[in-house]
Parts: sequence; C-alpha cells; structure tokens
Amino acid sequence: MRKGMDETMPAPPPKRVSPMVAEVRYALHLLTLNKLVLAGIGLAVGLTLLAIIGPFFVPANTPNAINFQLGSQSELGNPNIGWAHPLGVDTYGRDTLSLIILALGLDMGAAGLVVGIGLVVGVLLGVTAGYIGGKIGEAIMRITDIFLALPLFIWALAIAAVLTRSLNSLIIALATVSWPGYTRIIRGQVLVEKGKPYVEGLQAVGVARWRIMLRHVVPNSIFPLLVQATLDIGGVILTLAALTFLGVGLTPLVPELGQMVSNGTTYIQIDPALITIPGLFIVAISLSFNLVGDGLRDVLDPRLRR
Amino acid sequence: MRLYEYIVRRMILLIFVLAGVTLVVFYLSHVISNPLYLYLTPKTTQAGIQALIEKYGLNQPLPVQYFKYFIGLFTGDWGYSKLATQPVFTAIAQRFPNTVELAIAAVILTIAVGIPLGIVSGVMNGKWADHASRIFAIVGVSLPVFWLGLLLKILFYYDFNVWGLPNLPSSGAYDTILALSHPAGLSPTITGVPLLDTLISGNWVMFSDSFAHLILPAVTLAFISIGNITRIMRSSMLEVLRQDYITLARSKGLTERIVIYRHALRNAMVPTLTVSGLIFAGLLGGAPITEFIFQWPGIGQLSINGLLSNDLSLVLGYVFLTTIIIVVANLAVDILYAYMDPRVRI
Amino acid sequence: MGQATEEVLSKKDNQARPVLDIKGLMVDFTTYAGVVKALDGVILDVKKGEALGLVGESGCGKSVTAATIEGLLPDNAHVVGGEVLLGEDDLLKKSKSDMRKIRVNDVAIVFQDPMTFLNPVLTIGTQLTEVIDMEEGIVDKEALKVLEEEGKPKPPTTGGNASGKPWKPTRSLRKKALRRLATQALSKVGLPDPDRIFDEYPHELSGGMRQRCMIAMAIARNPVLFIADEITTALDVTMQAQILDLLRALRRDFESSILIITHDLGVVASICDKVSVMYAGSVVETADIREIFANPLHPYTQGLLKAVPKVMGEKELDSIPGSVPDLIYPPAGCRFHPRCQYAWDLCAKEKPPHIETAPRHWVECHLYKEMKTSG
Repeated sequence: MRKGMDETMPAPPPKRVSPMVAEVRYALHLLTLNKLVLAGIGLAVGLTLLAIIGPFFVPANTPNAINFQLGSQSELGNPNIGWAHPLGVDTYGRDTLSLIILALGLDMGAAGLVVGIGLVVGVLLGVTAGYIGGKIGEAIMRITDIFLALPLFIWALAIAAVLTRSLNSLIIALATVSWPGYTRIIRGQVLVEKGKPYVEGLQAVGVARWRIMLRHVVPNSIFPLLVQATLDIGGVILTLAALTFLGVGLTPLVPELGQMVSNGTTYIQIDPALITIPGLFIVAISLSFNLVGDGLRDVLDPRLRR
Repeated sequence: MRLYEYIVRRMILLIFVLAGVTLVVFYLSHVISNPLYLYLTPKTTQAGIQALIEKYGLNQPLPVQYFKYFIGLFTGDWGYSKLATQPVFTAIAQRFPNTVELAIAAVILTIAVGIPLGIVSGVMNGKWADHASRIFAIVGVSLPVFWLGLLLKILFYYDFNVWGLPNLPSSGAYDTILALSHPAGLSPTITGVPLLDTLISGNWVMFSDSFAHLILPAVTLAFISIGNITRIMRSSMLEVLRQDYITLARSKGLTERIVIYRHALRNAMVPTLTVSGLIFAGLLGGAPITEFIFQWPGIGQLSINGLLSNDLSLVLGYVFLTTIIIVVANLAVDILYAYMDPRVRI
Repeated sequence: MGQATEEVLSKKDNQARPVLDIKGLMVDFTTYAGVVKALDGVILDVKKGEALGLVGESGCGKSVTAATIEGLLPDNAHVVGGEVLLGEDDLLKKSKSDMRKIRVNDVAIVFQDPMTFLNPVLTIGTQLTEVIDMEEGIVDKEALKVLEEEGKPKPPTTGGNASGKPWKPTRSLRKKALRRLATQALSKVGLPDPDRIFDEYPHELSGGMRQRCMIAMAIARNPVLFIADEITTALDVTMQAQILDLLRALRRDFESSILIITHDLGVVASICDKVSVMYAGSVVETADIREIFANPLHPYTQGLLKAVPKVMGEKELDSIPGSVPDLIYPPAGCRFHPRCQYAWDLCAKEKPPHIETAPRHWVECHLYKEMKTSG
C-alpha cells in the first residue's frame, strides 16, 4: 500500500455495475437525449391508453347509433349539435369522438396482431433457416425473396383481391406479407451468432440445439427485430387504413379510421373535418411508432455510441 | 464477361420471382374464390356455364391452368378484362404512359427537394436546420397517402375555389373537355405521355393544362418520398463525415466547402441515388392510391378499379408488370452502385 | 504550473526560437462518463530541422496533442490552458479560417492507417493535386514550362493579353501541369511508375504505397512542421524500414522539422534527434536521443526501456506494474505515482514541475532537482 494514497485520491469512480445494466442505462440515457423520441413514446403510450381505457367511457351502442338528422348537419362544433359531440358527428350522425376511440382500438389492435403474427412466424422460420440451414433454409429464403420483391401495399392489394372481404382476411393478408422481413433479419443475426465461439462451446457440452437457439441466440438478436417491428406497426396502420379507405374489407358502419375517412369523402366540400380528424389520428399513431422505432434504431447504432 | 453473367443470373432470378408472385395470387384466386364469376352474367344459363368452363379451360387441373397462364404472360396474353372490356394487356399498355408521366414528375420533385434537404441536415447536425428537416421528414413518412391527397384537394381545389384563387385541377391528367374543344386536341401522340407530347408539338394550351393537372398528384407522391430520401441522405452524410478521410481532407487545409462537396458527397450520394432509383421504380408501379384519389388515368387506378370489381385478371396483370419493373430496377440500381463505388466490382 | 516550470519555460525563450513550442497545454474532453482530462500540461518544443520523437503508450495523449496543433479537435474537446506556439503565433488563439490557412501552408500531418484516411472514391491523382493546387502560382509556372517544352509560343508574362487580364492557362493545360507536378511528388517519395498510380484508387495499392502517397500529400506543401502520427504502426517491418528511409531522405533534402508520434522505441532510435516521453497527459522526460537511452531519469522511461525485449537479455520481460490511469479520475499529484517504486508522500500531493536537471535534459519528477546554472 502506498502511503498517502487514500487521503489524497479524488472522488472515487462510481460503483461498478454489471455490463448489461450499464448498457441498458446508457441506452436509456441516449434515448432521453432525443426529445423527439420522447414525444413519440409519450404519444404512443397515450394513444394506447386511450384505445384500451377509452371504450369504457363510450356508449356501447355507438356503431349502430344512427341518426341521419344529425349526420346531415355534420360540421365540427356546429352549435346545433353542441358540445355533446366535441369532435362533431359523422355522416350517420354518430359521435365522432366515440368512433375514434373505438377505431383506435380496432386499428392498433389489428396492427399489433399483424406484427405479432408476423414476428412469431418470421422468427420461427428465420431461426430455422439460419440455424439448420441446408435445403430447408434455402427454400425458406427463396420464399422470403419472393415476398420481399414487392412493396407491402401491392401485395396486400393482390391478396385482398382474392380473399373475402372481412377484417380477418385483411389481417391475415397483411401478416402473410410481413413475416418475411423478420425472417431475413433474424436469419442474418443467427448466422452471425452461430459463428461465435460460445455456441460451439455449448454444443460441445451437449446442450440441445433448440435450447441454444431459444435461450442464447434469440435474445442476442432481438434488438434489430424490435426496431423493425416498431416501425412496422406504423407502416401496417397506414396500409390497413389505405385498404379500408378503398373499401376493401369492411362495411361502412365499422368504426375504423380508414373507413371513416372514406365515409367522409362524400361530404368533402361541406365538412372537411370528417376527413381531417380521423386522418390526424392515423398520422398520430403512425408518427408515434415511427419516432419510437427511429429512436431505438439510433440507440442501436454502434457508430453513434460514445 | 462478368457483367453479362451477372445480368443473366439476375434475369433468371427475376423469372423465378415472377413465378412465385403470380403463383401465390393465382393459387389464391382459383382456390379461394372462383374465377368463373368473371365471366358470369345474370343471364348465363347452366349450359352457358358449362360452355364457359370449357372455353376458359377451367376444368383442367390447376397446375396446367397456371402454366398456361404463366406462359401467356410472356407472350402478351394477359387475359381479358371485363371491367375495361379490353384485353388486359391493351388496357394496361394504354394507361402506362400516364403513370410514367406522374412518376417522372414525382421523382424529379423528390430529388430536387430531398437531396439538398438531406445534405443540409447532415452537415448542420444538431442545429435547428437539422431538427426541422428531421421533423419534416418523419412526418412525411407517417402520412397516409390518401389523406394527404384528399387534404391537398380540399385546400387547393375546393378552398381555393371558395376563396376565389385559381384552383389546381384535381382529377384526370388533362381537361377532357378542353382537349375535345381545342383544335389540336392531344395529338399527335409521339411518346404517349401527354406532357411530353404537347411539349414536343408546341401545343402550349394543352401543355399548361397537363402541367396544372400534374401538380397536385405529383406533390402528394413526392411529399412522402422526400421524407424517405432526406433521411437516407442525412444518415449517409453523417456516416461519411465521421470517416477518417474527411479528417485528412480537413488537415490538408481544404475549405469546408470542398471537403463537403468533393470528398463527402461523392461517398454519401451513392446509397441515396440507389434508393432514388428504387423509389422511381416504386412510383412506376403506379402509386395506386394517389391515382385513385386524383382519378389519374394510370395503371394504378386501373388496378384499384379492378380490385373493387373483382376483375382478377386485371389485378394479376398489374402485379406482373409491377414485379418486373421493381426487380429490373433493383438490378439497375445494383449495377449503378458498382459503377459509382470503385471498390465494388461485380 | 509551478514556479520552477515557469523558470524553465522562460529560459527556453532565450534560446533560438523553436519552430513549435507547446507550453503547458491542457485539454479536457466532455463525455457521457465524465470529463476526461486528457492533457495535463504538455511541454515540448521542436527546433528548426529537428526531429522530435513523441513516445508513450496508447491513450497517453500523443494524438490529442497532434490534433490540437492541427486545430482538428472534436467538438467535445476544450482547451483549458497553455499555449501552442508555431514560430511567434499562438495557434490556440487563431480563428478557424486562419487555422485552415496554417494547415495549408505550415503544418502537415500524416496519419496512421492509409486505408481509412484516403478517400476511396477519388483517385490518388485527385487527392494529390488538390493539395498542390492550393499553392499560389505553382500551377501557372509549371504550365509555362509545359508550353516551353512543347515548343508552343509563350504568352506574354507581363502586360497581360489582349483584354488586359493576366494570362491563365487553359483547363487542359492546367491538368497537364498538375499531373506533372503530382507525378514528380510521387517519384520523390520513391513510388515507381507514378504515372499509373496517379490514376489509381487507394484500394488498388499496397499499404506501403498508400502511406507514401499520404507522405507525398504532406510534403507537397513544403510545410514548416511535419507531424507523423504513428505512420508505421499499420505496416509490416519491411515497409516500416522503407518509410523510415524515406523520412530520413526527406529530412536531408527539406530541412523541415518533424514531430514523430509513435509507441515504438525502435522507430524513435532510428530517426529522431530528441525524444519526449509522454505519460497520462504530460511530458515526463525530454532529452537528446543518445542521452535518453544511456541515462533515462524518469522511472517511467526507465520502465519503458527495460520493457523492450532484447535479443540476448533476460528471459522474463520487465513490465511496469499497474495499468494506465483512468483520466476521468486521475491520480492526484504526479499521475505516475501509483505505479512508481520510488514514490513518497510528495508525489501524491503535488505535480512535479518540468525542470532541466541536466543540460538539455528535462524531467518531471520529484526525485530530481533543477540543475544549477552558473552564477
């Protein structure tokens, strides 16, 4: 022990934590630096809450509460309608605010389902393709190539054309087309991880392959998937709204954002609010998830760190 | 020659992808719904149905039907469109130049605005100019196309009307009534693209009319692509400015201007231009929604109408064309990439 | 800075003004983890025609010093004290545009890894001629020479041409002239077939050739000070030897002052006149080359020299115990004291002054006293 060392040392460095915790802390710190991302997170959380809790405050019969009288006067804040309808009424006389709340749930739920199914299927196939490889892997990747050849909307268009018109078909159609993206991502990650020494070590000790995949490889590859999934929710919402706007998949009374815009086009000159308000909510959902996804991607980016 | 081999390989891949895409849709359309509906009218009798089945070979095994269809695609027989009362191929071919016109206009706008915005954003990283363009870009990509189109229509067509301002036309590629009444009309059709044709033949009245009609749909399309391009250009610039050779360039005493334009841009442009190529290809796919909203007579609108009236052969034909365009564009972009970056050799 | 250090510094002023004189340079970096006190009073100088070797482990601040001289510190760096004098000017006080001009004319730096430091999409020729073209008039002069050789009529050099403006060479003439100047520079650094290399891209050359190209870009400006930042580190031994030969030849021919930054004592021994040893942000010892090998004073220098494996030496390597300190929370007093076998209480309390303890031999260590000057 050197004399004099203790008394004169400057404040000691902070306690050392495990590298994982330090990484997460640093990631969160980076995230908070970007105010836009914080806004996005706030917006996303707010919308989700609204979608989940809102319906409890909405009269249960809203979709069928048709009142053509009201509808024909539809204008935002029209004094005849009064503040019982803060966002006005739609073409059928139903309260816009209530419809929006219900629609939020439907849209976000559908998008979540699409991405969720896509993730599960995509990850399973991708991990298989990467880890097992061989003929099966090749076949999976070829199929992936086919689906990735066209943009999402065109595929959705094609598939929607042949399926029956319903929300479920739309969800299935969209999910079918989104899994390939995740497959490609995770396969790439798996290939990288496979080459790492620890995998060989685990195999040598006798750990089952699927266990290695699930408990070690997947957690290490999860971040890029997370980023893509977040961004995809935004993208799926847009595509879904576009399809319903065109009239594919839903009946006019269903509370869904694209559908509401579509209903509003007949009144485009009288009451543009019928179009702008649902649209704004679509933008809000899409924007918030894009912001979050973007922020996550920046955090991930090794070049922007430190 | 290696380039030649590369192209051939990609072409084979293209055929493979085409097969895959058309197979999926074909299979779905024949198994889940029944193509017979295409040809049925309320007056068809039982015998008539049988005749139809015979005529269109609908009783043959599915793979055979598909095979025939697939070969037909390559020989120009894309089936018949009930909606357009024309062969699918003709219907699409007639409208394709209009889509091209819109795509070119949108791409020019996108590049002219998006690239400088991205450069400024990258160079001024962290300052307000950067934040402003980032917000602009991310909002741009979060907008639903149909909503943006409708919004622009409301503002520049309906509202301008009400406010007494000259309004921009909101439907069609040109004023058909004007075309009919104008002595020269729209002829001669040289390229088939109305804007170019009227320009070439000096038909200023129709040219300015076409141009006016082009504004709103092109801006709608461009708005979203600009968001994309700006973000890519920005991140590309940031990546490049971080490189060691930029430090060396600065250490040589070069002005910041030269450092950015000669050293940084040459490197940063590469991914951006390739993406622009892909965007153009995507736009050639017709941006169906935009065409639908502005009733632009292109292949996108055609496909949507086909979709809505269950005209499957139309939709399939459209998908076929779009796939070819996109895959070929990808190939062109890859070749362009190799050309621009001397390190990459095929 | 202590009083003793100030006396040393003022004594230095009385001798012939050095080309580069760094006095007590202190630089901090603000990072997520805290403030990194990278440079803690660097003192060194390079005289005209002299080759100074700046030696130290990775992270001791050598490259930061070079970046400060060049004015290329990143945004999160702050100079918190000291002066960097190039001749009579304090570079720290210069504006950005002045610094740029200085980078053009006076200080040239060559970096470590030519693969990442050369722009991959521009030819060697482009990257070289842009440097040459910054010198006023040099292209015009060469253009005239080209015309002369080709037997073409020379334009009037005074009085201007018909419209009264001074003569400017045509674009193609400029290109030819620049090409010639560039190929001359390339052959000066020992590159065979400079004409072919002019048109090639960096990835088409070998590491040694790329490094020579970078050197060519540096010497093309005839700088007053030439900084070489670990230029041989990325090369294998044979290429290293060639580059060092090149540097020696250039020294003979150009008389510029060189600052060689390296962690390799062998490089230092083969080319430098003087050596400054850096540790954790300050220069702990400076002496002439023979003196420092024969008589290292600072414990760190002694440790460094002992750590060099000798062919016929002992079997075990003598390494310095401990590790490089954390510069966010550096040790108090002398930054080396935790690893020093001679340390005592003073070492942990006060930073040792920079003193001249023998003729032309400076050290920062409490073990030594200022040498007695006559009188």
